Amino acid sequence: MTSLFAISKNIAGAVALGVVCLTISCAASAKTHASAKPAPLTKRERAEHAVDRLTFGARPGDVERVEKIGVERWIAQQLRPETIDDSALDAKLDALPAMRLSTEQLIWRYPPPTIIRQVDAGRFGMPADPVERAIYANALANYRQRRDVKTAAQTGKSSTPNVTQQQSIADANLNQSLNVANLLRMLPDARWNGMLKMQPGTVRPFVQRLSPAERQQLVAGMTARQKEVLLALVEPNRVVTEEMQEEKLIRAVYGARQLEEVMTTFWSNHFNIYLRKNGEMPWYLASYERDVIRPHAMGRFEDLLVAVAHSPAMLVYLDNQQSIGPHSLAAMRAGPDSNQKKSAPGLNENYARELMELHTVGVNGGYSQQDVVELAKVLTGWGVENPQQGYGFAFNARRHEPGTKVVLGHKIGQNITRENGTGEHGEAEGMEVLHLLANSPATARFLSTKLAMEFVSDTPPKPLIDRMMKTYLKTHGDIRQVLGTMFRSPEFWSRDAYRAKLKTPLEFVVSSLRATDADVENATALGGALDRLGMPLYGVQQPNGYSLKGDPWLGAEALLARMNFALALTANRMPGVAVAIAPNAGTAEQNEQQLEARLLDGQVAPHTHEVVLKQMESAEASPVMAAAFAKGARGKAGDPFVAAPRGVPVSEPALAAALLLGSPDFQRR
Amino acid sequence: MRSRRAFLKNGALALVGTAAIPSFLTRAVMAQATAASAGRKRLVVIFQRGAADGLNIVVPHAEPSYFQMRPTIAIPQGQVLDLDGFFGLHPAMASLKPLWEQKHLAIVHAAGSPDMTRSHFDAQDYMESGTPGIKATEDGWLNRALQAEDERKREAETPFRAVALTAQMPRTLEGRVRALALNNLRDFHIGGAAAPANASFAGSFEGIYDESSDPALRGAGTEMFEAAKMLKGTDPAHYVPASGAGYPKGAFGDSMKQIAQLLKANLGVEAAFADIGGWDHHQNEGSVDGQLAGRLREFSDSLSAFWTDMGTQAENVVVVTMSEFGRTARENGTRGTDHGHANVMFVMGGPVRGGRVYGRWPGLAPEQLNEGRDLAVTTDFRQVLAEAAFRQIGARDLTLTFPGAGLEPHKFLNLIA
Repeated sequence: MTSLFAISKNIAGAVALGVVCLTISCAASAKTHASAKPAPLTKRERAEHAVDRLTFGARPGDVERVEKIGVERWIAQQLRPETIDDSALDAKLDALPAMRLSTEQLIWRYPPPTIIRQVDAGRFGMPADPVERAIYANALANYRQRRDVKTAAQTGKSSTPNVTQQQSIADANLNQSLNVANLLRMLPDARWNGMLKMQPGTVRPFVQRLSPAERQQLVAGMTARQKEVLLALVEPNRVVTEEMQEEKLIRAVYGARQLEEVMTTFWSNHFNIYLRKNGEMPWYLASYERDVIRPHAMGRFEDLLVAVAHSPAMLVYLDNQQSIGPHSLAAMRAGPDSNQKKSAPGLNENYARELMELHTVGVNGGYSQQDVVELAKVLTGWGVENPQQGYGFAFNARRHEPGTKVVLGHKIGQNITRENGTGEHGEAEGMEVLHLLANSPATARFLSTKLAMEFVSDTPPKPLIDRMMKTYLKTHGDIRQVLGTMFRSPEFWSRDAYRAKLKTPLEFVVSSLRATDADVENATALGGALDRLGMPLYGVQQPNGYSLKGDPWLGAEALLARMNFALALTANRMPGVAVAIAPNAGTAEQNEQQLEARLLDGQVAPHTHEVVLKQMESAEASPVMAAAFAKGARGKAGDPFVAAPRGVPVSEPALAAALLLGSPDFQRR
Repeated sequence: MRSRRAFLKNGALALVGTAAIPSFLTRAVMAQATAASAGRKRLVVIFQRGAADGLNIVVPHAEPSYFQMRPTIAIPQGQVLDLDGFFGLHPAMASLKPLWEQKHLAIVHAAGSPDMTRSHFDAQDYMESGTPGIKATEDGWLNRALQAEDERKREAETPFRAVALTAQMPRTLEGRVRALALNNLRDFHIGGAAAPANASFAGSFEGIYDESSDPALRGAGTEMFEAAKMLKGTDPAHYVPASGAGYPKGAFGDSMKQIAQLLKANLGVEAAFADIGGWDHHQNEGSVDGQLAGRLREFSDSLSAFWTDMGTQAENVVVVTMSEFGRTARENGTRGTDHGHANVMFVMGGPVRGGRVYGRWPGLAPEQLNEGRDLAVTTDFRQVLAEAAFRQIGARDLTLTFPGAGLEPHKFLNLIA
C-alpha cells in the first residue's frame, strides 16, 4: 500500500510519460496480437477506471484518494448513497429555491403561460400575496403586450396605440422614480422592493436596457429567493426551465453521491421526457427527477417503473392523459350526442407501446400490436387531475375501458378483487401489468444490456449481460445488486473496457468542471453550452432519449464545440463560472506536467503531451482571444443577471489546459 | 471504397494540410478541385416539424366542404392565390407564386405515410428513417440514398457531401455515410463566436487530433478540421447573397441562406438538410392572417430568396419539403386543427416539371375522409422522395433507400426531368 502510494505520487510528476507509454503500448499490443493476453489494469488504473465510470469525472486528487481508500471499499460506499454526507451540495442547492417547491406550488408561484391566459380571460383571479401579485401582473402585462404586437403585425398596422402606450409608460418609469443610478445605489432590499413596485410590464424592458454590469449591480447582495423573483418579473418560465437545468448540473458537479447521480441521469434518459412537449412540461419536469427518478435510482426497478407510470410528466408526455376507453362511460357519454364524430374519443397507444418497447421488455421483447392495444386499454384512466394547475396523478374510472384484457398471454385481473360490484378492476389492472413487465426476463436482459453499455462498453460482452440478468431475476430487479454484479465482473475491469467510453457532452462538460475545480456560481450558461454541444438537457423529442453509444456524439460542430468550450472555460469566459489555472511557476515542462496531473491524472498520450508542451514553449506573438461560450450569440444569452466576461488574451497555462481538455484523451472515460 | 480523406490528402487539396495558407490561395486550389462538381445535381431536403396544415397551405378552394368544415379558419375564395381553378396557395405564400408560373414549383397533395400514427415523434421518426411502422431502423433515408449512389458516377467526396444545417445530426442523415451537422458557418472555427483563435493555437488542436492513437476521434477531428479549412477559404463571414435575394430574419432563412452559400462555394455538397418548426396549431391557427400565415410567410420567403440567390445554379438544384402528417379536415373547438393524416409536399427547382399539382385528390366529403376526419393519403411520401433521390443523387437502388416500399422507377410521378 505505502509503496504503491509513493509511486502514485510520482505519476503526477516526472514519471508520467513512462507510465503513459506503457499504457498505450499495452493497449496497442492487445489489439494487434489478439492471442496475447492484455495486461491487467494496474492498481492506479483500477482506481482511475472506477472513478471514470461511477462519477462524472475525477476532481484533482480523486483517483489518489480512491486508491488509498481501496477501490472496492469506495465502490461499496457509492452503492449506498444514503450513507454519504451531501451537505455541501445541499448548501449549493440553496441558490435554487424554486426547485424545492412541489409542482402545484411552483405553478402557483411562477405561473406558466396557460395560467396567465386563464387570468387574462378572467377564469383565474390574481393572487393575494404581494410578491406573487407582482409576478402575475408583469406576466399578464407582458402577455398582453406581445399579443398586441402580434395583432398589430397581422392587421398590418405598424404599431398600435397600446404598444406605444406601453413604451411611454416604460420611459416615464425610467425618468421618474427609477432613475437607474439611484436604484443601483439603494440597499439590496430597497432595490428589490423598488423593482416589485414598478408598473407591471415595465420590468422587462427596464432590465433589457441595462448594461451587463448594471444588471449585476442590480442583483448584488440579494438573496437567492429575491434574485429568483426578479427573474420571474422578467419571465417566470425562465425561473423554472433554467433552475431545473442548473440543479442537474450542480448535482453532477458537486454531489458526493456521484453514482446515484450517474444512475439518476441514466434512468432519466431511459424514461426520457421532452422539455417542450407542452407549456407546462418544465413545471412537471422539475419534480420528475427529484420525486420520481432519484429516490428509486438505486432501488427496485419495479418501484421506479410504478413511480414513472404515476408521474404527471410521463402521462402527459406520452399522451396517456388523453387516452379514453372506447366503451368507457366517458366515451359513451360523448359518443351518441353527435353524429358528426368531431373527434371520437378513443385509445391513445403511445404510452402503452413505449412502456414495452423502451421502458421494459425492449423492441424484441415478444409483444405484438394486439398487446399494445390491450395494454392501452389496461392503462385507460391513468391520468392527471387538473394538469394545468399541477395536481398529481388521478385514476379516472369513467375513462377506463371495461372488459377482459390479455397482455402478453396473461389474462389481467384474475386475482384482483373487483371494484365495488362494477365488474371492473380499475387501476389494479395497470399495477398487475407493471409487475409482470418489471419481472419479465426480457426486461432483465434489456436493462442489463443498457446498464452494461453505460458502464462497460458500447458493445458489452454477452456473458456479463447473462450474469447481470441472472442477478436481476434472482433479486426481483434490485438495481443495486445488478450494479454490484457488474462492478465485480472481470469484464468491467478488463483492459478492453478501460477508457473505452466516449464521454457524452454532459459528461464532458461536468468532468471539465470537476477537473478544473471550477466554481459554478450560476449554471445557466452551462445549460446553454450543452445546447451548442449537441445535448440540450431534456431536449430529446423522441421517447428513446440519447444514445448510449459514442458515434452520435462525433458530429463536426459538436466536436468543435468541445474544443471551444474547453478554451472558454480555461480562459474564464463561461458566464457564471470561474476556474483558477495555476500561473506559470516553473519550466514549461514542469507546468505542463502539473496540468496533466491535475486534469487527467497524468494519463495523456505522448503525442498530445508533445503538442501541448510545444504550445507552452512557443512565445506567442499574437495573443489568443477567447469568445464567451454562451447560448447563441444574440437573444437568449443565458441569465440576464450574469454577464459574459469581456474578451481578454488567454494565458499560456490556460491555453495548455484548453488543449488538454479538448484533446482526444479527455474525451474518453 | 475510396475514402474522402485520401482524396483530400493526395489530391489538389493536399495544400490545406498546412495551417496558415492565405485564403485566396485556398480558394484558388479549391476552385480547381471542385470545378468538376459545379454542374452536378443537388438535393435539398426540408422538414416542417410539427405537422403543417396542408389544407390551408394548398387550399382546395373548389371543394364546398372545405369552407363548411372550417368556418373560421378557411381561406376565403377571393383571397386564395389560385393555381389551377381547383387549388390555390395561401396568400402568405405569394413569394412562391412566380416559381409556379415559371413551372419550377410542383405540388404533391394528399401525400403521406401508410402508417396511421398521430404521434409527432413516431411520424417524424418514420418519415426520416423512411421506414413507416419500423422503429428498429437505425439510419435515415437520405443517408441510405447516398449509400445507394452509383459508385461509378460518384464525384470525389468532400466533408460537405451531406450536410445538415442543424445543431444535431437529423435522423434523415444518420448512417454510414459521414455527414456534417453545423448550423453556423460563420463561427465554425477554433475560438468561437467572436473571432478565430490564431493559427498556431488552432494548429495545436489539429496536430493533437491528426495523429491521435484514438481512431474514432482522429477520424472525426480530421474531418472537422478539413471542413473548417475548406469553409474558411470561402470567407463565410462575408457572404453576400445575390441581389434581390431577401432572406427573412429567423432560423429558417439563415439555414436557406447558408445552404445557398455552401452550394455556391462548390464545396462538394450533394445533399443538404434544414428544418423549420412551429406548425402544430391546435388553437387559434388563423386564416389569411395569424399563426399559420406567419410561419408560411417565413417558409415561402426563405425558399424564394434561396431561388433568387442561387441564380443560374438553381438549374441543378431540387428542393423537396415534407411534414410528418397533415391536420384534421375540420377545425376543432379552439379555432385550430388536430393531428390528421395526408399533407402537401412541395418540389422546387430547375429540373422540376412544375406548375402542376400531382397526386390523386381523394376529396373532402365525409365518406372520403380517412377515419371520417382527415384527408386520405393517395401518394406515399416515399414515392416523391425516391424520385428526388434517384434523379438528383443517382440513388438507383430503391430497395436500399426505401426497403420494403415496393417502389419502381416506372411508377414515379415524373416530377423531375
